[in-house]
Amino acid sequence: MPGKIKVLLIDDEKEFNHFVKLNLENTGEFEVLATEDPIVGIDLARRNPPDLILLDIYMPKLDGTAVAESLLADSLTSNIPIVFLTALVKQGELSKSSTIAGRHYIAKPVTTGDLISQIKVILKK
Amino acid sequence: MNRPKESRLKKEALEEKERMLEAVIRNSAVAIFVINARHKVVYWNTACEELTGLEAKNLIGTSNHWKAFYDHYRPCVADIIIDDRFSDIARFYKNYRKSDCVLNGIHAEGWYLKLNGKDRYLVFDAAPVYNTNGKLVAVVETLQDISEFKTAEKKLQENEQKMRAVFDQTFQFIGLMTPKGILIQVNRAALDLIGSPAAEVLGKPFWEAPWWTHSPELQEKLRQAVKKAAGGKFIRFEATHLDKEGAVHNIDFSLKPVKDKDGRIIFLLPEGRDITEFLQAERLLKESEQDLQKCYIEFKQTQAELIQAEKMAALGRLASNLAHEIKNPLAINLQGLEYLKSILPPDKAYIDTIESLIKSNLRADKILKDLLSFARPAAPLIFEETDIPALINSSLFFVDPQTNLNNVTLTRKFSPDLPKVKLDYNQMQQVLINVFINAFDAMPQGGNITVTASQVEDALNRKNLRIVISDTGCGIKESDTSRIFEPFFSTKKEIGGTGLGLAISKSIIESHKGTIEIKSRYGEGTSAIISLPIV
Ligand SMILES: Nc1ncnc2c1ncn2[C@@H]1O[C@H](COP(=O)(O)OP(=O)(O)OP(=O)(O)O)[C@@H](O)[C@H]1O
Ligand SMILES: [Mg+2]
Repeated sequence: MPGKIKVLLIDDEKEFNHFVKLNLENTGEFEVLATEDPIVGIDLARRNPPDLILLDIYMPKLDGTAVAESLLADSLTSNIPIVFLTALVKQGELSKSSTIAGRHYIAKPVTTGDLISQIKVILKK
Repeated sequence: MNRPKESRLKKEALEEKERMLEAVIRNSAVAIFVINARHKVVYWNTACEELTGLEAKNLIGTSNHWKAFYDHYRPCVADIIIDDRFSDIARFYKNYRKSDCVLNGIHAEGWYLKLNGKDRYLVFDAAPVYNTNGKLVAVVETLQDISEFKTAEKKLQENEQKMRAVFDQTFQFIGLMTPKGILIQVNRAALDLIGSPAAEVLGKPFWEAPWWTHSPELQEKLRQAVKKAAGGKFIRFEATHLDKEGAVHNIDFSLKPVKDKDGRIIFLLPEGRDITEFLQAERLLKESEQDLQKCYIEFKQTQAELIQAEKMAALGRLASNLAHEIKNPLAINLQGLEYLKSILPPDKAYIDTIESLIKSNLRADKILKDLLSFARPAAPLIFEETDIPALINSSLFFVDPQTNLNNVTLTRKFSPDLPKVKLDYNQMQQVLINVFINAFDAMPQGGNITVTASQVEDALNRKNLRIVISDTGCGIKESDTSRIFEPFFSTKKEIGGTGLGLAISKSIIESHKGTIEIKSRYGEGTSAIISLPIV
């Protein structure tokens, strides 16, 4: 068995985490760890490095970009691809996700189908 | 024997005559003195005493009469007659002549300063007296003090000179003419304007002078004006004069009748004021007033635009915050709905309900996305050399499915010489998609869409790319045309229009320094004309 794709989801919206976990795991291809607390998220990533991290940008406790910085600074987590989840969409963006300066973005709201295909595209690279 | 008596009688008569003459001379109001052939004063009358201040008793028998007039010896006119030195008289008098009525008489006159207490202008008339043998025996000289007359005359002259100076030196054109319009006086300013000497215009009808000859109508007008003025009317009109260089001057012309004390009109007084500069200044003033007005309107407009922009910016910030806040619950909804869909039994009623919930969730997301892209300050443009037909075709690709659906025929006319144009591909694609979707929306029953792309030159010879997208759809109501670029203005709310398409498109086009224009006839169709500078 090729093993499930391990995804760590860090987002301050508890319900969002809840449904994304359910939907991804429903496919049988994913194993999702989710947390609303970015500090806990960083700790989880260190102790149990996932294949990919979904990271919300706007969180009250700690900004997503700061979380990403500390993950990239740590050799334990620096190789894990990070995908930013954001409600902010840039003008002229027709596509659902994009890569800006080496960082991946997925716009919220996103359908499960889109989310999965984007995750796969990124992991293939 | 009668002789002595006769001669006695004769002598008496002579003496009588002499006394009478003496009395006449003595009492004459005219100052008279007489000197004999040897320059001795034989007579000095009372008036002469009063005039000169010298008394007869001190002078009779002397040759001191000169003392009355001079402070050193010199001949008086009377002396000059006795000595027959008329040829020499210019040495002593400036103003003299031979008498008009008396043989060998002399007339002289002049100012004598401080003569008997005041400055006097004296007129001398000296006449020789001959005896029966024709021998000169005496000279009678009369003196007249005409100082007052002279002073008045001088004043008058000065006044006249002053008046003449004013007349000549004023910038106004002034003349004087007979009631029949014959010019008899004209001032310097008027002559200088036409560069003619006075002789050329005086004594002739005013309207035949060069001020008027350039215009037969003006000549006629003046002729009529002269008639009216001669009848007592004051006339005023605006005229033109040509100066000697041929330049046109605007003249405020007037004609005034001048009456004598009996009320008869004796002269007409024409006056002209050069108002060319005044009119020019007035014109300039008007122009600058208009400029000012224009500036003010522009200013007001800019101000209104600024206020509008400010409002839009505020609205934008609000919208962007709002959109962000709403997107998170939307994201939860979407995930939740998808979860529900995955766990519910595959009953068509469930699936349809959830599908339509998901759809409307996504539509809400689209609205927010439109709102954000409008509200957010434009992202930095990424310019790339773009092939225009490719851009248009790729934009059509996004909306194409509708083409078949709505029975729309599409015509593309791309001129072959289209250059590549530097523009932001994604953003321009968004503009074209908006415009195409509008065209399809306008033709639910089908129709034609024509896209042309060509290169044109604007008024300043700058090259522009022009894309025109025309449809044969419903068109836009006249009353709506001014509002279609307004954000949130939509006549298609019920089919999901947010009214942001054109507003976003316009801001994108403007960030490319281009223009977008919508021309429409209600019920016939619409054209969107996009111009972009080719740099
Ligand atoms: N080709 C067209 N034919 C007729 N009406 C048009 C056309 N293009 C624009 N309009 C009018 O201008 C309005 C504003 O257009 P705009 O594209 O800004 O908004 P919208 O199409 O209503 O909504 P959306 O934000 O989805 O584009 C439209 O609602 C419509 O009334
Ligand atoms: Mg539209």
